[in-house]
Amino acid sequence: MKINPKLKKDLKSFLLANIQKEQNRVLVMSADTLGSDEKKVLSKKFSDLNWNEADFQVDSSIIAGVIIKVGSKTIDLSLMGSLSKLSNTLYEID
Amino acid sequence: MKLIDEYIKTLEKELKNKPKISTEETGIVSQVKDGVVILEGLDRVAYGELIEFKKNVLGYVIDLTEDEVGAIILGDYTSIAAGDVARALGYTLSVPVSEGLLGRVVDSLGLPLDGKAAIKSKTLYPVEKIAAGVVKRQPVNVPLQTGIKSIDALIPIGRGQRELIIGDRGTGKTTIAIDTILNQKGEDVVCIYCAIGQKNSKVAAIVELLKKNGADKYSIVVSASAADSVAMQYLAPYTASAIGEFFMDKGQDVLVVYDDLTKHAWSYRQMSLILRRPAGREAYPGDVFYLHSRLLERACRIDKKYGGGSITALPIIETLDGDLSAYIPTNVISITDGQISLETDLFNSGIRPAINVGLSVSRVGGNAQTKAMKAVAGKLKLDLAQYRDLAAFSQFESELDEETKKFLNRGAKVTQILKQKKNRPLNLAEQVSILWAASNGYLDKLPIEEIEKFETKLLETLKLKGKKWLEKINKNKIMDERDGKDLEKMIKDIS
Repeated sequence: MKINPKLKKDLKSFLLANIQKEQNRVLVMSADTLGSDEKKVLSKKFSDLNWNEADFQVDSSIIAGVIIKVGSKTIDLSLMGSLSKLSNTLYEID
Repeated sequence: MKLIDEYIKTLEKELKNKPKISTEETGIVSQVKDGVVILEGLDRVAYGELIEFKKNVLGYVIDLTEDEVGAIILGDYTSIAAGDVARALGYTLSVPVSEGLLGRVVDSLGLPLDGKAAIKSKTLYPVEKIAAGVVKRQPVNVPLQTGIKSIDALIPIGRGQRELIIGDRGTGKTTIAIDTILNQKGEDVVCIYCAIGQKNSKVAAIVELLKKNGADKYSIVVSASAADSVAMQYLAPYTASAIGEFFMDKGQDVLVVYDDLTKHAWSYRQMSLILRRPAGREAYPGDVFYLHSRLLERACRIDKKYGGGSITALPIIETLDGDLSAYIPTNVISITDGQISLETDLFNSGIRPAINVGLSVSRVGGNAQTKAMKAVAGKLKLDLAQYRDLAAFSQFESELDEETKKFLNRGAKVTQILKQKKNRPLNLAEQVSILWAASNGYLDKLPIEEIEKFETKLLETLKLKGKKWLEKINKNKIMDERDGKDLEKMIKDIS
């Protein structure tokens, strides 16, 4: 079966774009459900991220604050994160 | 109290910092294999970068495929589970280096293994480093005395050289390397013994031996034993090299023993197979040559303009049944500047060190040999070569002419005189005196059993009566006619 190479190329780039879109989806984890004003603050602060299709998850183990994930990048603004950093610092001072 | 104040201050500083908004590269563990972890994510991680898992376990990225990252685990990998988060640290693997390393036993990450205090250091040296280039180098021309007669006379090693020690198991490879370390006492050479995949009991024995002989003051042992993960075994020689570079950059001469690179190649093979890299000959990956060439290329002698200093490498390779043409042995033979070949047959027939003089060479060491040694060694080499040629014929000893008998006799005596007990290195003057006696025919009339006795007697006499002579030779490294006459007198005294 012959496939038009142009078609193949188009399909490939379309799929790649799709994957990229999926990868660059913003995921926000918070200790509690975020209100709309809180979401607004976040989108203002990180204006370069695409907030239209953001996912919001609730994970109480982070205690407070938020963790923002885009692809393999992570921005850790949670209390749990700072605590674990602190415990590392304590370990190093020792 | 001071300590607590400092502690609180640091903590306060840490707490005062406003949460910095910083992005981190993270990934999720998808597979845990023997010492190797496969991760998803970490899209922007670099080759050789360090990643951190929970509980401060570190990983070292050595495999980047289209959508996965492979990392070797530095330490205990059993605490890592699938689904764990790992974050990239943004820097490559380095080891802390300082003068405090002397006399210590450390692992592949530079952490102490001897139960003593942590090693204080302000400098970090990268474990993987491109070797010094052509411009910075200087040819090998200063000898590194091994203290072993047969090596210093026939296969001399220079500072900055890479000399392979190759042989079957139990032929005295490690002994040669350790004797060389013992002989560096007072020579201002920093010695690093790197054990790769060795038994812990063997390493303990070596540490003990170094201590007993006072060699621990200028030695460092880097050990990744057979019980450590392959990742640690893979890294150990590079760590040893990095520590060596620290001392070399200070203008010091360094001797590094890699014991042994066969096991290093095995550990790399295991890692590569787990990472599913294509296997080549003997199931080694394609870059097993580069594995050793980039390590041994780091041995060098730096030009004085660039600070001087040198790293001499003594890699060890274990062969099976004396097979020098196996894959790893041929590779390392071609990388190094010569080899010392040890043989089981010689070892069993009592010739120790069991060096096969015919198969051993030193490609650059000749320029580094001292004049005193050159004067006696030249004749010695000729005697031995002639002996080897004739020895085969002497099997059918029916009618040999006088000349042949003389050569055979001389050869046998020279072979005897090259024997040496282990852990008893000799200094230059001592070596020169014995070899001079042999090559000038003073042993020809002695029966073979008496030769060892003669040697001890000569050394005793020299120590008692010829102290000045020894000092002079050791200092000037030249032996002129008058020295020869003085020595002749002393030899005549004892016989």
